[in-house]
Amino acid sequence: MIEFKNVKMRYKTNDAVALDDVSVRIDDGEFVFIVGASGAGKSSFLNVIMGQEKVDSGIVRVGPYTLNTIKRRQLPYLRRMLGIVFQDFRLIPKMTVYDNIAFALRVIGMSEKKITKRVRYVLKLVDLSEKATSYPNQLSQGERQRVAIARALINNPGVIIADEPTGNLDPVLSGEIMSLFDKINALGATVVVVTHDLELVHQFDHRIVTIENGKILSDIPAKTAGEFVSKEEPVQVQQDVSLAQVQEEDVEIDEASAGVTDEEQGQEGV
Amino acid sequence: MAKNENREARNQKKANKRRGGGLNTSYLTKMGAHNLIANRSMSFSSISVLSACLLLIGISMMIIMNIQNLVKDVEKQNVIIAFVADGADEMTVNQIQAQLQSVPDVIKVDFVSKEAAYEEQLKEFGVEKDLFSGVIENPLPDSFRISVGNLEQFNITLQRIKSIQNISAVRESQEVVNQITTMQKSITAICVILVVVLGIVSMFIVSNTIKIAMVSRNIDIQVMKSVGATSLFICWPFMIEGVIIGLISGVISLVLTVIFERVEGGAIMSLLEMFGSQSVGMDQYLPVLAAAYLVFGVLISSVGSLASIRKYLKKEGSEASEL
Repeated sequence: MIEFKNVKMRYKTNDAVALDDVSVRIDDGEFVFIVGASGAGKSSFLNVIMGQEKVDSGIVRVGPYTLNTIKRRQLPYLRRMLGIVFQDFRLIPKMTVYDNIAFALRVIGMSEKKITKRVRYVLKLVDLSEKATSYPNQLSQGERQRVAIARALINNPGVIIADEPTGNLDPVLSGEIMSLFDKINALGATVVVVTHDLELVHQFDHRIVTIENGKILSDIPAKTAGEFVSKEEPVQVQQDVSLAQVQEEDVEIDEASAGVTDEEQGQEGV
Repeated sequence: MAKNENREARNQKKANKRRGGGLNTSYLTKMGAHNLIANRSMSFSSISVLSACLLLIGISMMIIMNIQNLVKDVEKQNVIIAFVADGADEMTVNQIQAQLQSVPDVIKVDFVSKEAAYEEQLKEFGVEKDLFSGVIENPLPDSFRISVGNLEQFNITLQRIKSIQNISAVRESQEVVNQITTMQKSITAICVILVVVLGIVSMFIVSNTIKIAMVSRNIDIQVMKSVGATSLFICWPFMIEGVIIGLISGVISLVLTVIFERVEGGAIMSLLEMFGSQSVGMDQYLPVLAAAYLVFGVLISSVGSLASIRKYLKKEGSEASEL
């Protein structure tokens, strides 16, 4: 659950209003689009959720954490509950696709055997298995964003947060990526997508929160939002593995029966 | 609510342990070593400057050590001769000896009778006793040879000896003693200042190297933070980078110091022999010097790294991306 209660925040750099009396609640399992023009306060909204910015007043809760009083040492644990996808992908250029995804698990100290197993499944989920040893500069924009999504998913986070995930993609790829988020949401994760692409938003039947000048202008629930859904069918991504399967596999992982080959282990070197 | 949050953080830590452990130190150490090679030009400049600073620190230490040795040697040689007044009987001489022994900083008091002094004098002149057989009376008085320990208190000790009754005169080399003590103080002060200044300079340079490394890897750090890396996880590779820089610099400095000693050691030795002393052999302090280099190197570069990392890690969100 993500909750904002009368939140006010100003930018530290120029003292302009970023969020002005924002109150909103996102329940577990919801899919919410946060829309608005550039500078409306959408990214500030996400930065607050990620614990990157502190609010001036009001209350912000994410899961069990109250972000107004969260301690610095607790931030990593808050962020492990979130899967974050950035517009500019933020892939580490010197790492392969495999290592970029595995990195999120190395951070939490998972064993390499388990990492190998999980990365394989998530790569299948985003349909990038054959690109595991490629570097980010060898991928298309869409593939890069799918790697970023795979990285966000790898830790089984309860909440996926995407900041303009289709900002650098063409309409077809944007549809693919959004369908992937849709699928992830259907598997139980809360998804919060910040975008200014209204056309894309209206292809899906999800709650839409509009922010303007730091204020919530409208909050249209999913059913109503569905009235605006385009007649065009959303692009479907071919998948043969579900997130649920990934989670199931993770539970079943047995050191002895993991069946990770030496060759696969060999991909890990940074 | 705060209790819930702490519980959640603890649960997450436990969950992480179940998943495979805490900090993957071998992976992070590899990352640190990899960074050192990736930022090779900055690493090279850091190692060069730190090595030069450590070398100067080592040479300063060698100089201080040799001067201290010289002072000790002079102290050992330092003897005040106190002459007993004419006509003093045996009892008076004994009293004087007891008084001299009770003076602070007096290490040793030896009585030299006028006869013994006379014979010694003749030996020094290298002449036969018979040559002076014409001399009716031994002109030398009874005396005491007094060894003084602490040269810094020399003047006070001297005054105390002079003030003893029935001491007619004293002979001492105060000038030399004063000069050596002043020289020791000045050189030690200069060396200490040099060591401190160079240490600080080195720390700044390593700190800047690590800062540049961190800025150039801003995206990596932002990604690390976004996936929930702890500060320790982010710091570790940079700390390893700093420690490796320190270790390499320590080894280079040690090698250069050994070369310096081989080349310039002879000159130092002959300088010290002028004062009747000998240079301290490198084999006596090589292990200490090696340890000092490594400890100083690692300490300086670790503190330098830590200073940059701490500043950087405090930045969040827009502040971090501004760097």
